[in-house]
Amino acid sequence: MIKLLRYEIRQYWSGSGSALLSLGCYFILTFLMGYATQNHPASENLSGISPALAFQWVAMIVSSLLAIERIWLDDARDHLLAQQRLSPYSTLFFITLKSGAFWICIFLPLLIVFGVQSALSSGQAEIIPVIPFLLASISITLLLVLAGALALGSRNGMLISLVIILPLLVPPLTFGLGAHLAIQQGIDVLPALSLLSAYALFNLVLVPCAVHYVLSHTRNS
Amino acid sequence: MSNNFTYSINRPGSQTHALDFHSGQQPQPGQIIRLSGPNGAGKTTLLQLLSSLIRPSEGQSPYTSDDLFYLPHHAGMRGQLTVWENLDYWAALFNINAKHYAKEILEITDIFELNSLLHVSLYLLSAGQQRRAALLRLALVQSKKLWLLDEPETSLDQATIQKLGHIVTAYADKGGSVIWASHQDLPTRTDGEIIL
Repeated sequence: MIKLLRYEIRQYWSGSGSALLSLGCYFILTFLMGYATQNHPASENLSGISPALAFQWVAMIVSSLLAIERIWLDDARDHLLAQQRLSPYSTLFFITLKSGAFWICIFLPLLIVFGVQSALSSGQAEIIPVIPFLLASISITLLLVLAGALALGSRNGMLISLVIILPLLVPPLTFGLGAHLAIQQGIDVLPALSLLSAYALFNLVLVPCAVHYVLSHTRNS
Repeated sequence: MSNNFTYSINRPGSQTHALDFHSGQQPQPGQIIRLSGPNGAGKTTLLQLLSSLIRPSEGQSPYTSDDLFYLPHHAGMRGQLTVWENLDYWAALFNINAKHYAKEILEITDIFELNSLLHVSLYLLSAGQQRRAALLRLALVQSKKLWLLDEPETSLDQATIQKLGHIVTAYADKGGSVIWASHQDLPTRTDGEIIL
């Protein structure tokens, strides 16, 4: 099992290197765009939300989108899905394996960078903003695993699946940003964290079933 | 439990036809059966039904996935991995301890002349070399009851097809059964034929 996880992780660091691409995209979005809007007059009217902070969260989601192809489409192109179906491991095992590998390769590096950025921007070592990020990243990972599976169904599947999945990424973005702001402003963070946790739990239960259904109804192997 | 099954093939724009498999077509231990038929007759579909990759409309496959090894037309290998890593990945996927088959792996690597290519990424190899890399799996499945081979000779030169024939014959001589889908005469003895 560890060996399979190792090979899955390697997928993200080989070839075009999706993990590096995501990390690079995150840096560009947060540093350049955050810097560009810092002194913009409109930034005062964003209901107290720092543009840099909002970009940090949006950048996290946009960067992770770059690696969706690595989840299922690469295996479909290599005709590996049939081999995986024939193997003694269940579909649920592969969903867990691929979600785990995606999280480790895409979100773990972002989580570290995010923590460092938060600490630098606030001028003190902050661990707490990492918790909303962690909870949001669980939901986003699962939803992107579903998006990757949906993309197997048709020729322009990636575009269609993104249209379906993108609205579902709004709750982790808004709840996560809300929790982060609450921490920064020193107000009660529990409501936002509860919503984030509930959404993560909802996805943990439902998304694997949905992915299982999608994979069992696709002949793209 | 019935060993017969039926599958309805529905292709848009063409007539629906049923694919039947009955117990009389099941290869006995040591037999090599040739599976033939024109393009689109359902050779690959029959192999997928036998391997339980797809479900029959009626009945069920007489085999479980533990019993057999299925080598599809597209073998399923990662282009970024080397030949050896692909074999190692496949062994892990099927819970096979490759170390137990070290001798067989060395033998087949030697037969297919892949020694110098073991640590080369798959995408750098020719179609024939990639096919030979896929055939290395045969070293790991010597204990399976049945091999389902879907045109394994594709992209191979005549000398390599003959070598493949020797490996399959040796497996059948040890009691294994083989169903080999092909448009050509098999480079082995043929103990029966399923014509679609």
